[in-house]
Amino acid sequence: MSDKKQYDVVIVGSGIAGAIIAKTLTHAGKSVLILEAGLEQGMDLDPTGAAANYQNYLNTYYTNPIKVPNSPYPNLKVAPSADVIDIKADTPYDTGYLVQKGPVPFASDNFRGPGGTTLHWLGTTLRMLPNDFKMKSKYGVAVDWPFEYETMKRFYEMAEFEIGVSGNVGEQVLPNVDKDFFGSKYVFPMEKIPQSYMDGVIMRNTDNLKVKLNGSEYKIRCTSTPQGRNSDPNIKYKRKGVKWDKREGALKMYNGGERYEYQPVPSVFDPYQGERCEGNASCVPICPVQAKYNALKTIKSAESKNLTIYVQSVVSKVKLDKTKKHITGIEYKRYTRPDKSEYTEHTIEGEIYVLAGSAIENAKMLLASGAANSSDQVGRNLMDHMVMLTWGLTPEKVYPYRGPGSTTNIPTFRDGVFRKDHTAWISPLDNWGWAWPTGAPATTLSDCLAKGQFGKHLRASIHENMTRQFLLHFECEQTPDPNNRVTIDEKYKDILGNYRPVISYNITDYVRKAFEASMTVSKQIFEASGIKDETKYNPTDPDCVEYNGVFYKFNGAGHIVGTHRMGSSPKDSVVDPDMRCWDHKNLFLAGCGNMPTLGTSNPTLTMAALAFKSAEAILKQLES
Amino acid sequence: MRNTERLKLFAKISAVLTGFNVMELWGTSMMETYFYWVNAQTKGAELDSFYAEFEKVFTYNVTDEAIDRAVADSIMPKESFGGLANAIITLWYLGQWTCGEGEKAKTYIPTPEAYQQGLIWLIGQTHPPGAKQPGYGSWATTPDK
Amino acid sequence: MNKQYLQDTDNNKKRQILFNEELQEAVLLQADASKSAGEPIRTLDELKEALQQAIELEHTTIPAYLSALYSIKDGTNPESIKNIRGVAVEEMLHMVLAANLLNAIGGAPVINKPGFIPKYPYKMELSDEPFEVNLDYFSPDSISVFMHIEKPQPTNKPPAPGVYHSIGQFYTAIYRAMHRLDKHTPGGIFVGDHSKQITSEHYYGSGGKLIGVYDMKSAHIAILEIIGQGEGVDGSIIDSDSVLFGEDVELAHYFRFSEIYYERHYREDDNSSQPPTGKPLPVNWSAVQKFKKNMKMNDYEQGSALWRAALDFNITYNQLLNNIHIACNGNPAHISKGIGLMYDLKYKAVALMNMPMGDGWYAAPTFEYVPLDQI
Repeated sequence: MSDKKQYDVVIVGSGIAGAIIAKTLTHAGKSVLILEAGLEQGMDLDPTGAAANYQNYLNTYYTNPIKVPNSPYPNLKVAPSADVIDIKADTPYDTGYLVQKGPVPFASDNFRGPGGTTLHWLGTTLRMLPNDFKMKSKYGVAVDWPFEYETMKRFYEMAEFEIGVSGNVGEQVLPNVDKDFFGSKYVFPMEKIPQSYMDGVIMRNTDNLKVKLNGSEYKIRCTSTPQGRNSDPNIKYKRKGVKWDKREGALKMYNGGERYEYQPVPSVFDPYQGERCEGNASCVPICPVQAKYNALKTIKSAESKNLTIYVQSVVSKVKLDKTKKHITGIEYKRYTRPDKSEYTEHTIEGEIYVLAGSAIENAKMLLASGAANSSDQVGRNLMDHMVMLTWGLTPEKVYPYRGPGSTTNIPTFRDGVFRKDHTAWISPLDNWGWAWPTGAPATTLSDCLAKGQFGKHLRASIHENMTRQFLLHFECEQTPDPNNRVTIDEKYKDILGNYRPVISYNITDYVRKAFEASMTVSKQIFEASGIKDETKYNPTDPDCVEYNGVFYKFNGAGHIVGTHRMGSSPKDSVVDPDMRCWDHKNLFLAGCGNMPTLGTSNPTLTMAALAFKSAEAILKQLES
Repeated sequence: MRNTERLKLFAKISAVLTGFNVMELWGTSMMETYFYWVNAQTKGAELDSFYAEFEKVFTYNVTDEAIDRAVADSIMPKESFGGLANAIITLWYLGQWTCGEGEKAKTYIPTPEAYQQGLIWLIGQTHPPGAKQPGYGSWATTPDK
Repeated sequence: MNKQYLQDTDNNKKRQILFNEELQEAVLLQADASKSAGEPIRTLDELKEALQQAIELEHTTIPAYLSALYSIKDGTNPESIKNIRGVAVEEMLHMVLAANLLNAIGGAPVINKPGFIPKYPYKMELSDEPFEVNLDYFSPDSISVFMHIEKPQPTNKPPAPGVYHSIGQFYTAIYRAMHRLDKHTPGGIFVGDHSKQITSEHYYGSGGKLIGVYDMKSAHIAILEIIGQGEGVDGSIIDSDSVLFGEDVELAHYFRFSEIYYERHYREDDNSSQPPTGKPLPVNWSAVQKFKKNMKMNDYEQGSALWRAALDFNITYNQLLNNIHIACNGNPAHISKGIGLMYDLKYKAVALMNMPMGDGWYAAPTFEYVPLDQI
């Protein structure tokens, strides 16, 4: 059966990439349909309904004893989400949604539902560095992007507007980056999010610290982190939106009038909630006031008369015509009960199709359809940031567990000639104590209870420990490896009969060497700050890998990237520089799957910029 | 012992175990919830002897120091009362209760408020992540007033 | 008449405004503005005094609204909380706007003095029939008092120096005095230091806009902002059929309380003189911590844990007022620090309201003065 309605563009997924494309196209007058796999109530944008649904998320989070990123959100049998609680040390296994072939289990998750993983992203909005776009020509590693940083600059500006970035441009002193990186007059929409008290202590102790690495000396520098959460508006910021300039065939940013002041975008459920970050210190998994950006805000500001959303509609595949050059429709299954294998099948048609279902889901849908894969690159080059954590006790109280997850980072090792030997990394200072690596403060309590402490004595011990917990990240860039991949297998399907992703994954020595390198840097930073190192890795834990006889534990960053990479040739890439499939002119892919390499930036901002880039290309194609 | 008297005793016990005073504990709104929760989750005989032991502690000891010493001797050792004292502390501190042991252990958070009223966050001079937010920019200075 | 009962804000939000400009001009300036005879406010000093009173008047409702707000049990009555909270935050905005007006004419607002917080029950005198404002828990009774506060009755009695019969009359007198004194004072009366004005940059969390006051024009806008959302110039407009409702419209204070009282939302075509007829707004009147009206520190045994908790609350409340005082006396950026204190205040109030008094009632915050330099 076929729905009669015809849309200009059909988009699969309502995460940030799909939402930005939908918003941009609807404001340009195009009719858009979004197919969303998640529950209807999650897409309710009426204030009362949205508030009730969000309160449900919050209550689920409060009462869930394991507060992993997906803990507030429904995990549906009809459209399951990858979840970090499913990760096991010994591969292969198929007990979670992801079928993990190993040898190393893939360590990240995402949320399949309205708004996508922006519901639990941290909110860090770093641009990629110019050298990140040319790893092959600069360092002889990985691949170059099909364009340089300059091409991305105006799209980054659009993304920073749409997300609502708070930050201080002047403080962004980055390796091998000149003043043109932002442009001399550029400011972010809002002032920087205040850096934490802890950041201040660490910055004081590491100011101008020289660390040795591979025989070279590097000066440690801390900088405030730009973030997609609301702070005081920057009165110098005059941009008011993005619009399609038909005559020039380009997206343009436009300014407000003389008296225009940028307004922080509040929550979708209350215009007076979320106008500022209120320090809930729970950005991951959930910002209770929605001061942190999520894609529902973008959907809410789309031109609603041109936007149709089908919820509870899980896409199985794209349909190809006989020549296999064109997509003729999208097949999806609509369910009414999220725990039952009951559904109706539908096909929807549009001029152009966009898959924006996350890197893993996009690869899965393409493989299931036999589409876009003449290069044999679909599903390959799966990447993530490998987050190695080091932690210790500070000599003075730094009062963690307050503020956004991270407000300061050390960008020193984001670029350099060392990238010929091992990966680059970024080091965010973490404001949330040892919660991630040890499960503190619950473990702080159990340690004290094991010593027989109670009452005032217990209070004092916990206070002394908890207020001194310091955590540092080393988020190492994973480079593309064709064997790290998503495949499908008839043996593994979900209850709607859709494929479950089968993941093969390993960590190359190029990355492992960065663990060793960053550990030497960590030791020097801790020593300079008088921090007592408490880092311990257990070799039997999942994702604990060996290098030179030493074990290093890494965590996933939730940065699922690279399964349908963009390139300059159909031979070795899935999409062209506009993110149009080389094999099918009317199929675009959106999301982090497009990224040829990852750099050291959290990828959401880049994904958003790329979404604007492909929205522009889609509009051009529709107009031609 | 009637429930109202037991509730009073539970409040007193909770204060000794947590290091917070009775009124501070009432201020969390969790006193009755936890009292009934502990009643429901603990074997009757074990609970009775636990309360009886505490009554003895309060009868024969006056000063805080003496009470603490008595509790350390007769209540806190791991084998006493199936670790009930630690379970009560954990309930107040984290809003969590664990049933069973080892692989079969299952942890519950009885209500959203139980999590939000966890005392451990006050001890760390902060607030439970995702609740009782301190307001914009509060993290930039020490929490000392 | 050009009726304009809706205001579009920068955020594309629509707000009800309980005045229209033509009527405003007629009411405000009907008399010959050059004559001070018969006017209740004649001199610049009297105007400063009146504006200090305005600050105090705007403040009086805040402890009452907060008492009801904080008594609602966590996780219940989300829509009632939203409505009451919105009004309370706007009352705080009005207080700061009144301080801006006073600063604009070279006065110095005092917000941290003993006696700034009124004694509750507070007798609302600006009415033909004075009524009591209490510190009380969330109930149909307390909400109906709030409706009364936000819907003053029109009066026929003329004002006299220091004597007003409605809030609208009070602000009308202030407006007329400002207008007249500005015209007849060489160089005008707006001589205040511009840097003392608190402006919108640091304000958020409810409707309304913090307006910097630099001249008669901005003073006019500031006064209309104060009376437009709440008090109105007289009660008649609330009962006119010109008030517009609608889902995306932010209601004036009276209607926000009325929605709670009648447990219904207003619909687009509702009549303002009638109760709302829209979809239900569920209210759980029993999900409340009950305390005795107008509790005082003296009701707690000195030195007890309860007494300390009540004192602790008062310290925070006085810190909050002191913070606003500092902000209004040359440190505008200070105002945003108040948000953190507001949250702290809430947590302390909620804790108090969970502490049993032993007689079936719970404790409550007392909103009393504490000299901060003596603690």
